[in-house]
Amino acid sequence: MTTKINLVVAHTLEARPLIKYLGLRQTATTPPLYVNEDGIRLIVSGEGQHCAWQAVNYLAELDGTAAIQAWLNIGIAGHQSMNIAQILLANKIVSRRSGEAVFPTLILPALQKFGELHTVDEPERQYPENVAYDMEAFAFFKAASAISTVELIHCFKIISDNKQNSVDTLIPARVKSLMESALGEIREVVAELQQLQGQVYQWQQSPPELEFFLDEVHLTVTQQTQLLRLCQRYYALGMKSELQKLTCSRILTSMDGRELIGRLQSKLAGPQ
Amino acid sequence: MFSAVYIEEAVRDQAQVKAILDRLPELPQISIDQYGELFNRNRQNFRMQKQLPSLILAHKTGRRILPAPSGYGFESTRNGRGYYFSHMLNCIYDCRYCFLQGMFRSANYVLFVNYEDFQNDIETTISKSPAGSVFYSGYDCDSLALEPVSRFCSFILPLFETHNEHILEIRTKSTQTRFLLEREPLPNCIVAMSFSPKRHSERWEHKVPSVEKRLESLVRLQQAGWPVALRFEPVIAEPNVQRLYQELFELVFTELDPSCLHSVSLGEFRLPVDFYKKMVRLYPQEPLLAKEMQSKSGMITMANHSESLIPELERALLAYIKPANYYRCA
Repeated sequence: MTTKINLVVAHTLEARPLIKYLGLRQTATTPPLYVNEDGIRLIVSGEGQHCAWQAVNYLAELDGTAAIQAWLNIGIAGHQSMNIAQILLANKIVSRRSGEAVFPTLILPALQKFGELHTVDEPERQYPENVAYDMEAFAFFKAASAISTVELIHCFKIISDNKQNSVDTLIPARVKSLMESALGEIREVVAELQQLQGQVYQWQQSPPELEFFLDEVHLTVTQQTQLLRLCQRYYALGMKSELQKLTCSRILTSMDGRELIGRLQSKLAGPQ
Repeated sequence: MFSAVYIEEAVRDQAQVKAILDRLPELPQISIDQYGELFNRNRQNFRMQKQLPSLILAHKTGRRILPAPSGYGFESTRNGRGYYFSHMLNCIYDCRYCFLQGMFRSANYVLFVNYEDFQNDIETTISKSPAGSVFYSGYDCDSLALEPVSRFCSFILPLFETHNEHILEIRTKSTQTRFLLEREPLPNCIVAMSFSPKRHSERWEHKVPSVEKRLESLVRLQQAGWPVALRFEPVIAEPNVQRLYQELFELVFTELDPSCLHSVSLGEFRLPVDFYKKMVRLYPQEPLLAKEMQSKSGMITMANHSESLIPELERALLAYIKPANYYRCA
C-alpha cells in the first residue's frame, strides 16, 4: 500500500507554477503528467467536466486499489463578490447542469476559507449568485468519490474574475501570477491532505508478518482475510512477539493454511 | 466543537434553527436539501470525520417514537410500555465500544429540529399507553451532551410535567445538568447516568467526563430532588473486572444515597455482528475489539468470561441497593 496525492489542474497555464514549486517532473505527455518523490502527481486535465472526469479515472487506473489516494482540484474561478486573488476551499459544489450538489468534508482546519462553488459548462459572465464558478469541480469530485474516501477529496480555487473584472479580460500572465500568489496556501492544503492520508495509511497498514505468512503458506482468499485479522489482533493485544516467533519457526514450512489459522486462533482463545 | 453547520433548506427559517445558529455564530453555514445526502452517502470515513465533525440541522420525518427493544429498560417492572426517541443521531463522545460507530456511515451530528413534532408524537403515544409507560431519550445519541446547543430536553420536560403518570428517562454521560438544577425537579423524569470502572473509562470512553465528574453531577441532581438512576454498562469482561466494579460501586454508593435511587442496571457488552465488523474495519488496532468474541443470533458478545460474571456483579450491587431497584439490561 502506498499513498498518492493527485492534483488535477485544467490548464497548463495554471499548472506551470505548481510544477515548479513542487519540484514535479514530467513522466507522460498524453495526458501531461508530472510527479515528485513525495508521492505528489499532477495531471493537466483540459477544460470542462468531461476532461476532469477522465483525468481522475486515468490516475486511479494507474494504481488500481494499491494506493490510498487523495485528490485536489486546483484552478482559477469566477465569483460574484470575492476579490481577485482570494482563495477558497469548496464546501459545496453544485452542478448547474443537473442541480445536484456534493459536499467536500470540512476536515482541513488550517485554511478557514470556505465557499460554495458552481460548476458550469461555459465561462460565467453574469455571476448571478454569490458563489464561485468553475468548469471542472463537480465532475472531478464525483469521479474521485467513486474511488476514494470523501474526506480526501477537495477543490481549491483562486478567484480570477468577478463582476468588476470580467473573465474576458483575463490574460495568461495574470493566471500565472494568481497561481503563484496561492502557492503557500496550496502547500498547506497538500500538507494537511498528506497528514490525513498518513493516518489512513497507518490505520490500514497490515502487520509485516502477514506478508511473510502469505509467502510461506498457501492460503485461500477467505483464509487470507482471516489471517490478516488474526495478525492485527496479535498486534492489538500486545502479542506481536508470539507472531514473530512463529515466523522464525521451522514448523511453518510444513503447515497448510488451516493449520496456521488454527494455531494462531488457539493462542488467542484464552482470557485477555 | 463543529467544523460547520449544514442546514436543510426546509428548516432554515424555523425559530428553533435561528436560535441554534445564534449560539454558533462563527461556523460556516451550508445549505442542503435533505440530511441523508450528506449523512448517508457512500465512501465516508467515520473515524476521520470524528476528528472534526459537523452539525446537521434537519427535519425528522417518519416515526419519531418507537417501541423500546425488549429488555432495554425498566418499563416491565412498572407495568408500562417502553418507547424511545432520538432527537439526535450520533454523540459528541467517542466511546470505543459504542454501537453508533458501526451503525452510521457518518460521524457528523444530526440534530432534528422539529421539536414540536416530537412533542406531539409523544403526546399521541401517551394517549394510547397505560400509565407507567417510559420514554427513553438518548438511544442514538447522548441526551444531554449537546443540550447547551440544542436545548431539546429543556423543551420536552414541560410535557412530562403535565403527564406525570408517564416517565421520561434522560440517559447520558454528560455533566451538562445546569438547566435541570435551575428548575424544579420532576418526579417522573429520571436522569440515568452511565458508568464504567475508572480504568475502562480512561481506556475506552474518549472525550467523556471522568467518572468523578459524572458522579459529582449526579450527586448534585439527587440533592436537588431529581430522581437519578445508574446504568453500569457495557460490562466488558476481562481478568479481575469484578474488583474494578467493586471499587466503582464503593465510590458511587458512598457519594449517592442508594435509598433514593430510581433504578440501577447492569448490561453486558453486546453488538450486532454487522456493526462489530464495521468497527473492526475502522479500528483494526483497537485492543478492545481484538479480544475474543462470540457470535450468537446475530449478536457479538465477549467470549472467555465466566457465565457467572454478571450474577457476581449483581450480588455485589445488591449489597448496596434493594432488589426492587435493580434490572438487568438485555
